[in-house]
Amino acid sequence: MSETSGIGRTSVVTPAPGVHAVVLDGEKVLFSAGSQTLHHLDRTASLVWDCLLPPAPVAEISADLAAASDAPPEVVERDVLAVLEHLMSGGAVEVDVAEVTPDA
Amino acid sequence: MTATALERRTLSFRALDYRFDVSGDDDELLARVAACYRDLAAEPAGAREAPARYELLAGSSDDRVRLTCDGTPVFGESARSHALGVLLWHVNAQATQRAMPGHVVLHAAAATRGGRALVLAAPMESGKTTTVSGLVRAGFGYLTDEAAAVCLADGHVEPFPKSLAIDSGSWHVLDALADHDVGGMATQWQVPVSSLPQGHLAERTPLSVVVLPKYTRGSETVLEPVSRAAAVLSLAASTFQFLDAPERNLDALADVVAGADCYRLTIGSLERAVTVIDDLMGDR
Repeated sequence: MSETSGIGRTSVVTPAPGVHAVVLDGEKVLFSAGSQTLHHLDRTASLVWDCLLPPAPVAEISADLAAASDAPPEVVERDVLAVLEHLMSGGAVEVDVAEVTPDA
Repeated sequence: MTATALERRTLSFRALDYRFDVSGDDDELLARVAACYRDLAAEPAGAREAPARYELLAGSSDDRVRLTCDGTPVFGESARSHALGVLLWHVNAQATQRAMPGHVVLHAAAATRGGRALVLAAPMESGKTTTVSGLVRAGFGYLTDEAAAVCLADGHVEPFPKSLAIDSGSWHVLDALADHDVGGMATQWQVPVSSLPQGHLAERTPLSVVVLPKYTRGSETVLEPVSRAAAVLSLAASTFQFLDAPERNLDALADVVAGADCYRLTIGSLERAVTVIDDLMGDR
Protein backbone atom coordinates (compact mmCIF):
# COMPACT_ATOMS: atom_id res chain seq x y z
CA MET A 1 0.00 0.00 0.00
CA SER A 2 1.22 3.47 -0.83
CA GLU A 3 2.14 5.40 2.27
CA THR A 4 1.16 8.68 0.67
CA SER A 5 -2.23 7.90 -0.85
CA GLY A 6 -3.46 4.90 1.07
CA ILE A 7 -4.14 3.04 -2.17
CA GLY A 8 -3.12 -0.59 -2.26
CA ARG A 9 -3.85 -3.73 -4.26
CA THR A 10 -7.03 -4.43 -2.36
CA SER A 11 -8.28 -0.88 -2.35
CA VAL A 12 -11.46 -0.04 -4.19
CA VAL A 13 -11.08 3.33 -5.85
CA THR A 14 -14.00 5.25 -7.33
CA PRO A 15 -14.43 8.59 -9.10
CA ALA A 16 -14.88 11.40 -6.62
CA PRO A 17 -18.27 13.13 -6.61
CA GLY A 18 -18.44 16.10 -8.93
CA VAL A 19 -15.86 14.97 -11.43
CA HIS A 20 -16.71 15.98 -14.97
CA ALA A 21 -14.95 14.40 -17.94
CA VAL A 22 -14.63 15.06 -21.64
CA VAL A 23 -13.24 12.50 -24.07
CA LEU A 24 -11.08 13.38 -27.06
CA ASP A 25 -9.47 10.77 -29.27
CA GLY A 26 -9.41 8.23 -26.46
CA GLU A 27 -7.88 10.65 -23.97
CA LYS A 28 -9.74 12.45 -21.23
CA VAL A 29 -9.72 15.76 -19.42
CA LEU A 30 -11.27 15.70 -15.96
CA PHE A 31 -12.46 18.59 -13.88
CA SER A 32 -12.67 17.88 -10.18
CA ALA A 33 -15.20 20.16 -8.53
CA GLY A 34 -13.88 19.36 -5.08
CA SER A 35 -10.34 20.46 -5.76
CA GLN A 36 -11.18 22.81 -8.67
CA THR A 37 -8.42 21.19 -10.70
CA LEU A 38 -8.07 19.70 -14.16
CA HIS A 39 -6.36 16.47 -15.10
CA HIS A 40 -5.27 15.18 -18.47
CA LEU A 41 -5.45 11.42 -18.85
CA ASP A 42 -3.57 9.85 -21.73
CA ARG A 43 -5.02 6.73 -23.32
CA THR A 44 -3.55 4.40 -20.73
CA ALA A 45 -4.74 6.49 -17.82
CA SER A 46 -8.15 6.79 -19.51
CA LEU A 47 -8.41 3.02 -19.59
CA VAL A 48 -7.75 2.92 -15.86
CA TRP A 49 -10.43 5.56 -15.32
CA ASP A 50 -12.92 3.56 -17.35
CA CYS A 51 -12.31 0.56 -15.10
CA LEU A 52 -13.27 2.37 -11.90
CA LEU A 53 -16.96 1.70 -12.44
CA PRO A 54 -18.37 -0.69 -11.46
CA PRO A 55 -16.12 -0.62 -8.39
CA ALA A 56 -13.45 -3.31 -8.17
CA PRO A 57 -10.22 -3.82 -6.23
CA VAL A 58 -7.07 -2.39 -7.79
CA ALA A 59 -5.62 -5.88 -8.21
CA GLU A 60 -8.65 -6.97 -10.21
CA ILE A 61 -8.52 -3.89 -12.45
CA SER A 62 -4.81 -4.44 -12.99
CA ALA A 63 -5.32 -8.08 -13.85
CA ASP A 64 -8.01 -7.23 -16.39
CA LEU A 65 -5.81 -4.61 -18.04
CA ALA A 66 -2.80 -6.92 -18.03
CA ALA A 67 -4.83 -9.62 -19.70
CA ALA A 68 -5.72 -7.19 -22.45
CA SER A 69 -2.13 -6.12 -23.05
CA ASP A 70 1.29 -7.61 -23.58
CA ALA A 71 2.75 -5.93 -20.52
CA PRO A 72 3.79 -7.94 -17.44
CA PRO A 73 1.09 -7.90 -14.74
CA GLU A 74 3.39 -6.39 -12.14
CA VAL A 75 4.21 -3.52 -14.50
CA VAL A 76 0.54 -2.91 -15.24
CA GLU A 77 -0.31 -2.93 -11.55
CA ARG A 78 2.47 -0.48 -10.80
CA ASP A 79 1.20 1.81 -13.56
CA VAL A 80 -2.39 1.55 -12.37
CA LEU A 81 -1.35 2.48 -8.85
CA ALA A 82 0.65 5.42 -10.17
CA VAL A 83 -2.34 6.73 -12.12
CA LEU A 84 -4.66 6.33 -9.16
CA GLU A 85 -2.24 7.97 -6.77
CA HIS A 86 -1.94 10.91 -9.13
CA LEU A 87 -5.71 11.22 -9.39
CA MET A 88 -6.06 10.81 -5.65
CA SER A 89 -3.65 13.66 -5.01
CA GLY A 90 -5.74 15.82 -7.33
CA GLY A 91 -9.02 14.93 -5.72
CA ALA A 92 -10.42 13.13 -8.75
CA VAL A 93 -10.83 9.75 -7.04
CA GLU A 94 -11.44 8.50 -3.57
CA VAL A 95 -10.87 5.23 -1.79
CA ASP A 96 -14.03 3.44 -0.85
CA VAL A 97 -13.15 2.88 2.77
CA ALA A 98 -15.80 0.26 3.28
CA GLU A 99 -14.19 -1.92 0.67
CA VAL A 100 -10.59 -1.62 1.84
CA THR A 101 -8.99 -4.64 3.38
CA PRO A 102 -5.44 -4.75 4.66
CA ASP A 103 -2.80 -5.88 2.21
CA ALA A 104 -1.49 -9.32 2.87
CA MET B 1 -12.05 55.41 -39.23
CA THR B 2 -14.96 53.39 -37.87
CA ALA B 3 -15.47 55.42 -34.72
CA THR B 4 -18.58 57.55 -34.83
CA ALA B 5 -18.72 61.05 -33.45
CA LEU B 6 -22.12 60.99 -31.83
CA GLU B 7 -21.68 64.39 -30.37
CA ARG B 8 -18.89 66.74 -29.59
CA ARG B 9 -15.79 64.70 -28.73
CA THR B 10 -17.65 61.48 -28.01
CA LEU B 11 -16.42 58.26 -29.59
CA SER B 12 -18.31 54.96 -29.63
CA PHE B 13 -16.86 51.47 -29.95
CA ARG B 14 -17.55 47.81 -29.36
CA ALA B 15 -14.91 45.40 -28.04
CA LEU B 16 -16.38 41.89 -28.34
CA ASP B 17 -19.72 42.40 -26.55
CA TYR B 18 -18.56 45.43 -24.56
CA ARG B 19 -19.94 48.70 -25.86
CA PHE B 20 -18.37 51.88 -24.65
CA ASP B 21 -18.22 55.58 -25.32
CA VAL B 22 -15.25 57.81 -24.65
CA SER B 23 -15.51 61.54 -24.24
CA GLY B 24 -13.53 64.28 -22.58
CA ASP B 25 -11.95 67.67 -22.78
CA ASP B 26 -8.49 66.68 -23.94
CA ASP B 27 -8.48 66.71 -27.72
CA GLU B 28 -5.04 65.17 -28.09
CA LEU B 29 -5.83 62.23 -25.81
CA LEU B 30 -9.15 61.65 -27.55
CA ALA B 31 -7.39 61.67 -30.88
CA ARG B 32 -5.07 58.94 -29.59
CA VAL B 33 -8.04 56.94 -28.32
CA ALA B 34 -9.71 57.23 -31.70
CA ALA B 35 -6.53 56.12 -33.44
CA CYS B 36 -5.99 53.16 -31.12
CA TYR B 37 -9.56 51.93 -31.60
CA ARG B 38 -9.95 52.82 -35.25
CA ASP B 39 -10.40 49.15 -36.21
CA LEU B 40 -13.07 48.33 -33.63
CA ALA B 41 -16.63 48.33 -34.80
CA ALA B 42 -18.76 51.29 -33.90
CA GLU B 43 -22.00 50.26 -32.31
CA PRO B 44 -25.07 51.32 -34.26
CA ALA B 45 -27.46 53.70 -32.61
CA GLY B 46 -30.28 51.98 -30.76
CA ALA B 47 -28.23 49.00 -29.62
CA ARG B 48 -29.80 46.86 -26.95
CA GLU B 49 -27.78 47.91 -23.95
CA ALA B 50 -26.52 51.30 -22.79
CA PRO B 51 -22.79 51.63 -23.36
CA ALA B 52 -20.27 52.19 -20.61
CA ARG B 53 -19.29 55.84 -20.59
CA TYR B 54 -15.68 56.78 -20.10
CA GLU B 55 -14.58 60.34 -19.51
CA LEU B 56 -11.04 61.66 -19.76
CA LEU B 57 -10.98 64.98 -17.95
CA ALA B 58 -8.35 67.44 -16.85
CA GLY B 59 -6.92 66.69 -13.43
CA SER B 60 -5.55 68.84 -10.69
CA SER B 61 -2.64 69.98 -12.84
CA ASP B 62 -1.75 70.12 -16.52
CA ASP B 63 -0.07 66.74 -16.53
CA ARG B 64 -2.80 64.91 -14.62
CA VAL B 65 -5.93 63.30 -16.05
CA ARG B 66 -9.00 61.85 -14.39
CA LEU B 67 -10.47 58.77 -16.02
CA THR B 68 -13.94 57.72 -14.99
CA CYS B 69 -16.18 54.90 -16.11
CA ASP B 70 -19.88 55.54 -15.59
CA GLY B 71 -18.90 58.25 -13.16
CA THR B 72 -16.63 56.05 -11.04
CA PRO B 73 -12.92 56.92 -10.96
CA VAL B 74 -10.61 54.38 -12.59
CA PHE B 75 -7.43 54.51 -10.50
CA GLY B 76 -8.20 58.10 -9.54
CA GLU B 77 -5.97 60.65 -11.23
CA SER B 78 -3.11 59.44 -13.35
CA ALA B 79 -0.25 61.05 -15.15
CA ARG B 80 -1.40 62.22 -18.55
CA SER B 81 1.20 59.96 -20.16
CA HIS B 82 -0.39 56.94 -18.45
CA ALA B 83 -4.04 57.77 -18.99
CA LEU B 84 -4.33 56.09 -22.37
CA GLY B 85 -2.75 52.91 -21.02
CA VAL B 86 -5.17 52.86 -18.12
CA LEU B 87 -8.14 53.25 -20.45
CA LEU B 88 -6.91 50.50 -22.79
CA TRP B 89 -6.32 48.18 -19.85
CA HIS B 90 -9.76 48.84 -18.38
CA VAL B 91 -11.55 48.27 -21.67
CA ASN B 92 -9.67 45.01 -22.23
CA ALA B 93 -10.52 43.83 -18.74
CA GLN B 94 -14.20 44.68 -19.12
CA ALA B 95 -14.44 43.14 -22.58
CA THR B 96 -12.90 39.87 -21.51
CA GLN B 97 -14.58 39.56 -18.13
CA ARG B 98 -18.09 39.79 -19.51
CA ALA B 99 -19.92 36.62 -20.31
CA MET B 100 -20.35 36.38 -24.08
CA PRO B 101 -23.38 34.17 -24.65
CA GLY B 102 -22.78 31.32 -27.05
CA HIS B 103 -19.02 31.77 -27.01
CA VAL B 104 -15.96 30.63 -25.15
CA VAL B 105 -13.40 33.44 -24.85
CA LEU B 106 -9.73 32.55 -24.85
CA HIS B 107 -6.76 34.64 -23.83
CA ALA B 108 -5.28 34.31 -27.28
CA ALA B 109 -4.15 36.03 -30.41
CA ALA B 110 -5.71 34.93 -33.68
CA ALA B 111 -5.01 35.30 -37.36
CA THR B 112 -6.32 33.85 -40.60
CA ARG B 113 -5.05 32.46 -43.82
CA GLY B 114 -6.95 30.86 -46.67
CA GLY B 115 -10.28 31.12 -44.87
CA ARG B 116 -9.03 29.33 -41.75
CA ALA B 117 -8.30 30.75 -38.33
CA LEU B 118 -5.33 30.02 -36.11
CA VAL B 119 -5.43 30.83 -32.42
CA LEU B 120 -2.30 31.36 -30.33
CA ALA B 121 -3.41 30.69 -26.77
CA ALA B 122 -1.09 31.25 -23.84
CA PRO B 123 -0.57 33.24 -20.66
CA MET B 124 0.92 36.73 -20.73
CA GLU B 125 4.50 37.17 -21.89
CA SER B 126 4.41 34.06 -24.06
CA GLY B 127 4.80 35.85 -27.37
CA LYS B 128 1.20 36.05 -28.59
CA THR B 129 1.19 39.65 -29.76
CA THR B 130 4.69 39.48 -31.16
CA THR B 131 3.87 36.35 -33.13
CA VAL B 132 0.58 37.62 -34.49
CA SER B 133 2.30 40.88 -35.44
CA GLY B 134 4.79 38.86 -37.42
CA LEU B 135 1.97 36.93 -39.05
CA VAL B 136 0.17 40.12 -40.00
CA ARG B 137 3.41 41.45 -41.45
CA ALA B 138 3.60 38.24 -43.49
CA GLY B 139 0.12 38.79 -44.92
CA PHE B 140 -2.13 36.91 -42.51
CA GLY B 141 -5.53 38.38 -41.73
CA TYR B 142 -5.84 39.87 -38.26
CA LEU B 143 -8.48 38.86 -35.72
CA THR B 144 -7.02 39.84 -32.34
CA ASP B 145 -3.93 39.98 -30.18
CA GLU B 146 -5.81 39.63 -26.89
CA ALA B 147 -9.05 37.65 -26.79
CA ALA B 148 -10.33 35.07 -29.23
CA ALA B 149 -14.07 34.52 -28.85
CA VAL B 150 -15.04 31.21 -30.43
CA CYS B 151 -18.69 30.81 -31.38
CA LEU B 152 -19.98 27.49 -30.11
CA ALA B 153 -22.67 27.29 -32.76
CA ASP B 154 -20.37 27.28 -35.78
CA GLY B 155 -16.79 27.25 -34.47
CA HIS B 156 -15.92 30.65 -35.90
CA VAL B 157 -13.49 33.03 -34.22
CA GLU B 158 -14.96 36.50 -33.81
CA PRO B 159 -12.83 39.53 -34.66
CA PHE B 160 -11.61 41.77 -31.84
CA PRO B 161 -9.20 43.88 -33.89
CA LYS B 162 -7.80 46.17 -31.22
CA SER B 163 -4.50 47.76 -32.04
CA LEU B 164 -1.50 45.50 -31.68
CA ALA B 165 -0.10 46.20 -28.21
CA ILE B 166 3.60 45.62 -28.73
CA ASP B 167 5.74 45.74 -25.61
CA SER B 168 9.20 47.27 -25.73
CA GLY B 169 10.84 43.88 -25.37
CA SER B 170 9.70 43.02 -28.89
CA TRP B 171 10.46 46.32 -30.58
CA HIS B 172 13.79 45.10 -31.93
CA VAL B 173 12.14 42.35 -33.99
CA LEU B 174 9.27 44.53 -35.20
CA ASP B 175 11.11 47.82 -35.64
CA ALA B 176 9.35 48.67 -38.90
CA LEU B 177 6.11 49.06 -36.96
CA ALA B 178 7.45 51.97 -34.92
CA ASP B 179 6.24 54.45 -37.51
CA HIS B 180 2.69 53.18 -37.05
CA ASP B 181 2.50 53.62 -33.28
CA VAL B 182 -0.46 55.84 -32.43
CA GLY B 183 -0.35 55.54 -28.64
CA GLY B 184 2.79 57.50 -27.84
CA MET B 185 3.39 55.45 -24.69
CA ALA B 186 6.82 54.86 -23.20
CA THR B 187 6.92 51.08 -23.12
CA GLN B 188 4.28 49.86 -25.55
CA TRP B 189 3.34 50.63 -29.13
CA GLN B 190 -0.26 50.71 -30.24
CA VAL B 191 -0.41 49.75 -33.89
CA PRO B 192 -3.75 49.63 -35.72
CA VAL B 193 -3.47 46.85 -38.24
CA SER B 194 -5.44 48.77 -40.85
CA SER B 195 -2.67 51.36 -40.85
CA LEU B 196 -0.10 48.85 -42.06
CA PRO B 197 0.52 48.60 -45.80
CA GLN B 198 0.10 44.81 -45.72
CA GLY B 199 -2.38 44.73 -42.84
CA HIS B 200 -5.89 43.51 -43.34
CA LEU B 201 -8.69 42.83 -40.92
CA ALA B 202 -10.27 39.40 -41.11
CA GLU B 203 -13.94 38.62 -40.84
CA ARG B 204 -15.15 35.93 -38.43
CA THR B 205 -13.42 32.74 -39.56
CA PRO B 206 -13.72 29.02 -38.70
CA LEU B 207 -11.11 27.80 -36.25
CA SER B 208 -8.72 25.34 -37.82
CA VAL B 209 -5.50 25.32 -35.81
CA VAL B 210 -4.69 25.78 -32.11
CA VAL B 211 -1.12 26.73 -31.27
CA LEU B 212 0.18 26.96 -27.71
CA PRO B 213 3.18 29.31 -27.98
CA LYS B 214 5.94 29.89 -25.49
CA TYR B 215 8.76 32.30 -26.09
CA THR B 216 12.05 31.05 -24.70
CA ARG B 217 15.03 33.26 -25.34
CA GLY B 218 17.80 31.48 -27.16
CA SER B 219 15.83 28.33 -27.80
CA GLU B 220 15.32 26.59 -31.09
CA THR B 221 11.93 27.28 -32.67
CA VAL B 222 10.07 24.00 -32.64
CA LEU B 223 6.48 23.08 -33.54
CA GLU B 224 5.22 19.84 -31.99
CA PRO B 225 1.80 18.24 -32.34
CA VAL B 226 -0.11 17.78 -29.10
CA SER B 227 -3.23 15.76 -28.48
CA ARG B 228 -6.55 17.57 -28.39
CA ALA B 229 -6.97 16.61 -24.75
CA ALA B 230 -3.59 18.13 -23.88
CA ALA B 231 -4.61 21.23 -25.79
CA VAL B 232 -7.87 21.46 -23.86
CA LEU B 233 -5.92 21.38 -20.61
CA SER B 234 -3.84 24.35 -21.77
CA LEU B 235 -6.81 26.18 -23.24
CA ALA B 236 -8.68 25.88 -19.96
CA ALA B 237 -5.90 27.84 -18.31
CA SER B 238 -6.31 30.46 -21.03
CA THR B 239 -10.10 30.68 -20.85
CA PHE B 240 -11.44 33.82 -19.27
CA GLN B 241 -13.65 33.02 -16.28
CA PHE B 242 -13.20 29.29 -16.77
CA LEU B 243 -14.11 28.56 -13.16
CA ASP B 244 -17.38 30.47 -13.39
CA ALA B 245 -18.86 27.48 -15.21
CA PRO B 246 -16.14 24.83 -15.40
CA GLU B 247 -18.19 21.90 -16.65
CA ARG B 248 -19.83 23.95 -19.40
CA ASN B 249 -16.53 25.55 -20.36
CA LEU B 250 -14.77 22.19 -20.47
CA ASP B 251 -17.46 20.84 -22.79
CA ALA B 252 -17.14 23.97 -24.91
CA LEU B 253 -13.38 23.63 -25.20
CA ALA B 254 -13.75 20.01 -26.23
CA ASP B 255 -16.10 21.17 -28.98
CA VAL B 256 -13.69 23.94 -29.99
CA VAL B 257 -10.74 21.60 -30.52
CA ALA B 258 -12.73 18.70 -31.96
CA GLY B 259 -12.17 19.91 -35.50
CA ALA B 260 -8.80 21.58 -34.97
CA ASP B 261 -5.21 20.44 -35.15
CA CYS B 262 -3.24 21.33 -32.06
CA TYR B 263 0.43 22.18 -31.58
CA ARG B 264 2.89 23.43 -29.03
CA LEU B 265 5.29 26.05 -30.39
CA THR B 266 8.53 26.90 -28.67
CA ILE B 267 9.64 30.24 -30.06
CA GLY B 268 13.24 31.34 -30.13
CA SER B 269 13.01 33.36 -33.33
CA LEU B 270 10.03 35.36 -34.58
CA GLU B 271 11.10 34.98 -38.19
CA ARG B 272 11.34 31.22 -37.84
CA ALA B 273 8.04 31.00 -35.96
CA VAL B 274 6.24 32.87 -38.74
CA THR B 275 7.78 30.57 -41.35
CA VAL B 276 6.74 27.48 -39.41
CA ILE B 277 3.16 28.71 -39.00
CA ASP B 278 3.02 29.85 -42.61
CA ASP B 279 4.04 26.37 -43.71
CA LEU B 280 1.53 24.79 -41.35
CA MET B 281 -1.38 26.86 -42.60
CA GLY B 282 -0.29 26.58 -46.18
CA ASP B 283 -0.12 22.81 -46.03
CA ARG B 284 -3.64 22.39 -44.78
